Amino acid sequence: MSGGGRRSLYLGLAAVAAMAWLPAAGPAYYLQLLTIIFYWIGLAACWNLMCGYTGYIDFGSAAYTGIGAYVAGLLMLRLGLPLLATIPLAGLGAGLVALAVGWPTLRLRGAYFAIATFALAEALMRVCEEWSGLTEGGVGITIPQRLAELSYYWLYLGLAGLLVGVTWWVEHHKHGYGLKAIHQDEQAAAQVGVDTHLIKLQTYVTSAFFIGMLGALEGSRLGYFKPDDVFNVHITIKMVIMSLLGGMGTVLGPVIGASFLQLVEDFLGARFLNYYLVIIGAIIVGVIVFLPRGITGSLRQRLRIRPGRRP
Amino acid sequence: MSLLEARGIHKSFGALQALGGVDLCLERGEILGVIGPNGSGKTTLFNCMTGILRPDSGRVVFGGRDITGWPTHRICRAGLVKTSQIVRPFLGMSVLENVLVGGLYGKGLLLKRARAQALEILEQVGLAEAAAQPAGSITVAMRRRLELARCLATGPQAILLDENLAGLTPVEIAESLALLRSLNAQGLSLVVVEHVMQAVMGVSQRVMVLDYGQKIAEGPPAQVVADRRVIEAFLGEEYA
Amino acid sequence: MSTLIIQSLINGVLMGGIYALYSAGFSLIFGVMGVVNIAHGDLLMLGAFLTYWMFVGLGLDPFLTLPFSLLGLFALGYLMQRLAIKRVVGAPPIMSYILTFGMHLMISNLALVAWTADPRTVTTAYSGAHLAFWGLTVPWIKLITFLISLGVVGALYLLLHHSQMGRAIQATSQDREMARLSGIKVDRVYALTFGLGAAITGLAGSLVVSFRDVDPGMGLPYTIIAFCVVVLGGMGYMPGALIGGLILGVVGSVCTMIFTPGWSIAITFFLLYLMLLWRPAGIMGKGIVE
Repeated sequence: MSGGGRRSLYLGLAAVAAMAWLPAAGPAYYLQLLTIIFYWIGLAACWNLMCGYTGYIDFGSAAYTGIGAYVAGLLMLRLGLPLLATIPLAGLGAGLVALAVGWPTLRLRGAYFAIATFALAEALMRVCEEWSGLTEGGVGITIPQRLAELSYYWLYLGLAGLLVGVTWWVEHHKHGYGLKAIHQDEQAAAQVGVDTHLIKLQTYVTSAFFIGMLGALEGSRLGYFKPDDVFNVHITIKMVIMSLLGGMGTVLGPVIGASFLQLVEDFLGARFLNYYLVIIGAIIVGVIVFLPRGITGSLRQRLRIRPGRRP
Repeated sequence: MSLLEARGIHKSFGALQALGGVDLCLERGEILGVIGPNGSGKTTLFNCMTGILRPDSGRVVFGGRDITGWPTHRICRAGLVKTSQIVRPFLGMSVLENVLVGGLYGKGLLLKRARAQALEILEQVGLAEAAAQPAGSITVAMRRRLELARCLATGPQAILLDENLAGLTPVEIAESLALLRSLNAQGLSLVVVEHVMQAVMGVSQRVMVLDYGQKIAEGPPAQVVADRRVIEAFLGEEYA
Repeated sequence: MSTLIIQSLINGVLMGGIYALYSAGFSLIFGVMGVVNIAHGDLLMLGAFLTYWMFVGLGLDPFLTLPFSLLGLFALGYLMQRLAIKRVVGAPPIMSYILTFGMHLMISNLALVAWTADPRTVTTAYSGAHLAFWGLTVPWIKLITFLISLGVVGALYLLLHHSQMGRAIQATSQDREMARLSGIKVDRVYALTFGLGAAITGLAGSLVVSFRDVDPGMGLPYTIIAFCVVVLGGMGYMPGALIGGLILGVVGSVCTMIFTPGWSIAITFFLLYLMLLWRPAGIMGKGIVE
């Protein structure tokens, strides 16, 4: 491992430690905002890990927040399991579904993969709405247990830190080269020995596992949700946009993108309730038209800084 | 026993028959030339042997194992790789990283060892100075050598070279041929596909000729160029 | 029972016509530019509102507003391409999803602010008129809409295959560089294509006004249906939109009869998913596969 690599690892750990200490100092409003930001960093990091590195655009990631939220919620409601025990089970549920889905779907490419994942997420949402015997349907479920507000802060911080750490690890190890080779040219990657399908599947399932856990935690934080809340395509789109804004296939991309978009949403949502989605739309259009490499990528290009990685 | 043996390979695309029962046999330590006009099925044959395409019928045996229908990456790990006719480096990566991928996955090396090996191979193919450059920024001739370097990194026993000399200047061709000879001298078996006859004739110990998906001649280069059917295939009947 | 089945088949076919119409626009844009337009349904919504306001404000019959939505949406589509979409042609596909998703957010939410979320309906003197025979009913409006849809899809097909502009579009979709080298103004072709796609989608919007209510959020579901139709028929293969539209119309209508509308949508999506795995090039196998 290079010296620069190790230094950035320590810096990251220091940042997480500082954030963990923050509740002792900061006012409550900002803690809540930060909680949400960490949640989104986690989700965006999951999406970026799979899609940013391989170039497979998953438009159905909300399937896994939904599955996570419902698995955890129903385990608490129907079997009375304690909340913290349901979280890993929710991740497992999402991961298993991802395994079954990913096996055939990851053979599709480009727009076809995007549309297929999107269709599947929508189909799962409808099933969840219609199968009211199991899920209470469109009425939604009320979660009987909740953690303390600060626990969510620390859990989200921990998961976000872990996921950024995983991304950093992937970037610097064998797995990252495999993913990037797939992104560049899948056929050529197979020709030099990369088991493309296996690597994609491993990454897809890992990403879904964490999305499921995050979805489950957020479900319990909300306390009450309907299928439309947790399977919503807007959740997926937000992960995509955050990764894109921050820079896809980079370690810090999701951190920058999620923080930026969530802060903007918070700022605009409070001031321009009616227009804020219009403004978000305009920002997205503006970024694609004027900063197609994402905020960091475009800044780098403007300032003529080369990516600071060694070969 | 031969290192690589393809028997009765058939492959059709819809109504178009690309290969009509082709046999190919490569001995250990040999350089086999495969020539044929455009569209004679050379690339299809390579793709069928390396798992990129699945033959309609026929078997491929490599190192004593039947590899027919194996996925490409598994065939690569077994020691049989091919360079592509259209060079396909991983454009977003550096030259070194391109070679690294081959060592990491094709040979299963650890990162540190793979990096050291990649540097050695780049030295061997003459790309050492370009190691840190993005693969998208190097010349076509360099890309062809990079393609070869990436294959070498997987630790192959045999390499199928699909028109690896196309578009090169005579000087570059001579350099490449010298490189191929030295690799061969180290024990690597090669199948060289070109439609430039001269280059293949000079380097191959044995040549086979494909035309319309059929093998029409096989033997030492001198004998093959004198074959009436070969001349017909390349130059038309009036020259025969 | 058999009457019920035949009735739902008829409903499905009639619905399929309009599906085919606006999906043809979606397919055209994807086929030529490789752009997946997530704001597609919003163009339909704009066409629908244009008709609604002309009906309410000027008392114009909905069918008489068709030329206006055709021209209006053509102009909008042309501008969208010129100002923004052209930046993502040839870029990684994700750029076009995100860009058009941003446009979807802008258009649908501006419409929401301007016109509120209230559903609005257009009722004309002939709204309830229908053909009745053997216990079956066929609303006149749906029948006429169906025929217009078929006519427009047919006209689009002729335009693409038998006109100078159509040939330029075809050439550009097959090989952009070759088209440029042979003197075709590729940017202009793209803008025309996007305009054309938007225009027939706006037209479809004006047509749906006659038998359903109009609201700013109506767009996204239509985009999703366009996905399904185009995948069924084959991406970028124009007659496929017709086949896909009819299949989806019939499947949706029969499923709604047997199950609930919710299950019907779920089944539609599973169908779409399985279709992608089984035949990504569409039923006829003539779509574009990457």
